Amino acid sequence: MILANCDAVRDALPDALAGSLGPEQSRALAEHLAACADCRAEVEVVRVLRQHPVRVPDGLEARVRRAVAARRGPGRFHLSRPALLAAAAAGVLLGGALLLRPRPGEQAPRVSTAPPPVRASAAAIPPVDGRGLMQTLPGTTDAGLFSSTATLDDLSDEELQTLLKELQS
Amino acid sequence: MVSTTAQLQFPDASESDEGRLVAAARAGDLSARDELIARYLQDVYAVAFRLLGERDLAQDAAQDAMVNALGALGRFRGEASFRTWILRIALNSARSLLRRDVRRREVPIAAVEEVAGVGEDPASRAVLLTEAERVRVALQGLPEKQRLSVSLRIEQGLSYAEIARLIDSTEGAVRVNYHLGIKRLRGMLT
Repeated sequence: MILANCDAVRDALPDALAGSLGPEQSRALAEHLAACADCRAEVEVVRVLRQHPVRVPDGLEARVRRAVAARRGPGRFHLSRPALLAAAAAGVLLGGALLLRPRPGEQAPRVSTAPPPVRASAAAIPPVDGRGLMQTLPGTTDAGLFSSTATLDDLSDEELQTLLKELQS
Repeated sequence: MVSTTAQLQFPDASESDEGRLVAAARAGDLSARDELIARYLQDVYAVAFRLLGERDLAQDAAQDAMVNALGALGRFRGEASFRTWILRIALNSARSLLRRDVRRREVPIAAVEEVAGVGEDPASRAVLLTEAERVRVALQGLPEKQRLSVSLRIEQGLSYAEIARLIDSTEGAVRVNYHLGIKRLRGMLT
């Protein structure tokens, strides 16, 4: 390339300042700049821009490494065919287990040797000041008792027995 | 126009070296993956910063770009250099964040810390920061195409043709935008 005019010289300036021009082009560029004040002014702009590159903030590289590792996980790079097959088999088993799981409203079969639990119906129990239960049911608080959506069905058999005794007394 | 289309050589990253590194990372070599991060994060972050003009967003974009690029190594075909490929991903990540972040803010003063070359001496530090800040503000004041053309040409050392491929433009349009940008910067910086 012959750096014969200003356009060609200005196109070449970034490469020239990066040191990537050949000796012949560098000589032609120098000759042109010696005679052209306008192109010399442009050299100054390119030089200033090159002097102030963007710097990577401290800590960004470590942050990126962590993000890449978290996204990919070291194991994913090394999953062999047998490992993939094992993972697929595990997925099939898990899927099967989920399909066989009892659905909402469906009672799972339960084997128990304990006597049948005492069942209390909410309709059979008269209105009661729940604050009286504060000392009866451990772990409850005033706010928790009245703001909670818990029902009698949530109480254990022992707690129901205690409640019935308190109501009868 | 040899100078504008010539492939720049990077002393620490010849094409064969780059190819081996990418192949190793793709095969699961974690040290190769880390080496790719160390080698290209500077360029990725710089491109994102020049597009976004904001430090925190640029960091997020750089992180997204590196995660996406290293997660998609299998799709790198080697048709362009890896550097061009990852810079395109950086631009896409930055544009994506730009679309999401409609709260374009003024760049905080702390962003001047982005600029390298700051000395230890407080006096020279102040002078250099001033000039660095002038450069940043001047570049940020350019229209996006001019800013990217100038930044990618001077800071990244890409040819007009490479820039055109990167920003989906033509070589002629990039050249015009570069010269328009430089002309405006001459008025601001000299």
